[in-house]
Amino acid sequence: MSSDKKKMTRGELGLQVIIFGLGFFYAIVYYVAVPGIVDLQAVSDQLLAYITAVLTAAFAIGVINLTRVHYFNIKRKRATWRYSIILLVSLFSMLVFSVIASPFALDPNAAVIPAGVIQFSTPIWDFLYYKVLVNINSSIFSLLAFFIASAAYRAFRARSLESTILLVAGLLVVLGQAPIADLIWPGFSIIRDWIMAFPNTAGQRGILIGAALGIVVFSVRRMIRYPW
Amino acid sequence: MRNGVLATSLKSDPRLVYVILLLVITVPLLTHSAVAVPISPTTLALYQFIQNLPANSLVVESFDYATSVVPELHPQAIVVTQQLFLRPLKVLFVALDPNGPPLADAVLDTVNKGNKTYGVDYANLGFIPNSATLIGMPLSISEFLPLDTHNNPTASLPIIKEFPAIKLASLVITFDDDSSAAYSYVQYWEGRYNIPVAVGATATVAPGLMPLYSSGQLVGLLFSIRAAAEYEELLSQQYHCCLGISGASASMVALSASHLLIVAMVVFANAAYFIGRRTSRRNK
Amino acid sequence: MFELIAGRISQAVLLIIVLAAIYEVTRIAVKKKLKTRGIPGLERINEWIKEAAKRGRPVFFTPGTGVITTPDTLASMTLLGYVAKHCVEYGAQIIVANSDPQVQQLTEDIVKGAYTKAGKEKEFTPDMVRYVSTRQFAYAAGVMGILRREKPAVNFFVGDFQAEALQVAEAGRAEALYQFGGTTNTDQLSFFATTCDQTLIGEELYTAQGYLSADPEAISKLVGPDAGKILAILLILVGAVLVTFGNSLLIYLLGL
Repeated sequence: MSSDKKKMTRGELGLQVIIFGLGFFYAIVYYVAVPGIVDLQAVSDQLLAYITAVLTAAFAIGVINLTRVHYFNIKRKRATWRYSIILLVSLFSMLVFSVIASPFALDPNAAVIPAGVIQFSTPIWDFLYYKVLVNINSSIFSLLAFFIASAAYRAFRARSLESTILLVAGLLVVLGQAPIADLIWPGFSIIRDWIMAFPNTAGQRGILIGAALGIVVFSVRRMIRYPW
Repeated sequence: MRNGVLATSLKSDPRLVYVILLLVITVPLLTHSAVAVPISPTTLALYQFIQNLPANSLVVESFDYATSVVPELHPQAIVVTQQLFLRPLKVLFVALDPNGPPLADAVLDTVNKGNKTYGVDYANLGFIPNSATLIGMPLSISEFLPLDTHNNPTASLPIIKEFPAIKLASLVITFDDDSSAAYSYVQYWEGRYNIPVAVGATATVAPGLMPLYSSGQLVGLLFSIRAAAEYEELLSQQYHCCLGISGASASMVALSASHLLIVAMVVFANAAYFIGRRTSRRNK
Repeated sequence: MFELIAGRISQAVLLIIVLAAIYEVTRIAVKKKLKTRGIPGLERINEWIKEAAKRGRPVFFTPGTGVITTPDTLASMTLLGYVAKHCVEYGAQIIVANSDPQVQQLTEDIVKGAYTKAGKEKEFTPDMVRYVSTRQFAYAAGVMGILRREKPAVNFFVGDFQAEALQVAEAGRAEALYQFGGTTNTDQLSFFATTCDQTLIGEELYTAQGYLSADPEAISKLVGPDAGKILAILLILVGAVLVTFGNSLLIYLLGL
């Protein structure tokens, strides 16, 4: 990817002016106020609301993309076509019940949708949300425990001084988190608290500062189209 | 040699690790084992902060986690909400995550509300849809959240008449699964209006929030389900109730066992590694 | 008429000083042709993609669960452009999985653009760029499924990741020859470090484009942000010494 030093077309120039203008405006709004004349914060929030509204349309495109991919899976009877049926049925049934009977229902006061339909749909939505969605999501999340165990077993090796320090610190924090370990020796939680409060905080801050500087430079370079 | 065979098996087929871990977690849960939980300083800080709030102070609870972390953060939400209802405090429930409002309702269905009345002592204001609302609420709640989750006009609720703006709140507690809500509240509410903020976070996110706690921007920080068990212990000591209310205490033995297993596996793997290295050096 | 918002004046001043320092140091670095340390692994991306093409296995890329306004996601797009370009060049199939539908529009545009620029627009199919799910663990499950079924040779997990990072990286590790990770999320970096062959840590994600350009001037320009870090270190040291001796002047100044 070489530096882009070509002359900009008019369209590219216009786009770059918009990028710079919006970026500069949002930066200024954070630091400067114009009291009594215009509420810059309200203007920026309104702009953001418009942008969000436009971007939200992309959700519909995402659903269309998903539907298209899995429809062709089913039509061409690809290897996992049965799962595609389950996906599409789940997607559209949850969509329908959420529109009718969720906390974000379109017509909670039954102005258009018959009250009987809402009454029928509400326990179904409750079941799908609390008994199915919450539990499935939690199950996938809980796979992390197994992955962490296998990753820790595989990766924590005292191959060098740095990895040994990492290993020892990691083990001490894990021990400090286990309530039973504190019953064996109360020092584990004291050591854990110290590691979390000092080396961990220091490391987190260092990475945060570096990342923040990276974001600032990256953003400014995008705004002024600075060639790499 | 036996070490080498087992070590190689564990490394090449992680399913053995998974089976051992599964057994170590499920056996304590099925046998209902229990263990006392030492109290962390960050958990105690939040508990004492709430205990020291003057009567009739307003506390805002924000449900900013998805359904996937319900096992980790829901117990925290239950015990903290229970403490708030045991004290003479007013509570508003909001959410920066669309999943938040039904989860707040689920917590309200679980806790013992005593003689607290909806609309007078607590209310669920629902989802905060954008940053404009987040920024505006400290100045006027009903202007930015006109309806609660029961479709009542918020301006008509006695609790909102008493506290028309969030800047009158004495504490904001966010249960956050990715630290974005924590940073939002610290930036917009704590930074501008000096409203104290506390966070209940998952085990992977909480260490990243320690800089905020260390600098005083957070008044308390709850680490995962263990903090919920610690909270149950604190409530039990003070109010002689609530042990087991969130299910957190019952999982502490399983949690401890899984941690100790990971430590044991890492030590075992390193022992096998060093023995293997020494053996190969000798063979050379 | 204009007034600086209280509590942010020192931030504005610091920002101007940092940007000025970065600009000046960049200018000097380019003039003196200074070089920074390399980022391990970036130079190996080419050979990994070549090997994937040789084995007839796809290259997998995912920018994580961030939305289009997340800096990490935007930074990952520059790497995607590079990966897509070389996949087209070497004839390796590319699969991109997205969590956000807006990001999916962008990634589709980038991948399609790579094919179009190489004159191979007919080889691009919409299946290459997939929207999985906005929900975190539905996305994780979907990506794990793609990795198990498609068995890519090279995986790129670069962008904004939350708790699903380890799941997708572990699932990918079982099948792939090489894995490349990158994020600024400190909670997930350790997981990438244990499961990926190479990892972009923190700000390396934002400087990757400069390294990939292989332009000596571009590489010299990467020295610039280090000026900001040196300023931060000086502030921390001065502040620590002052606070130790009971002086809170710096805290007062930074709070203006």
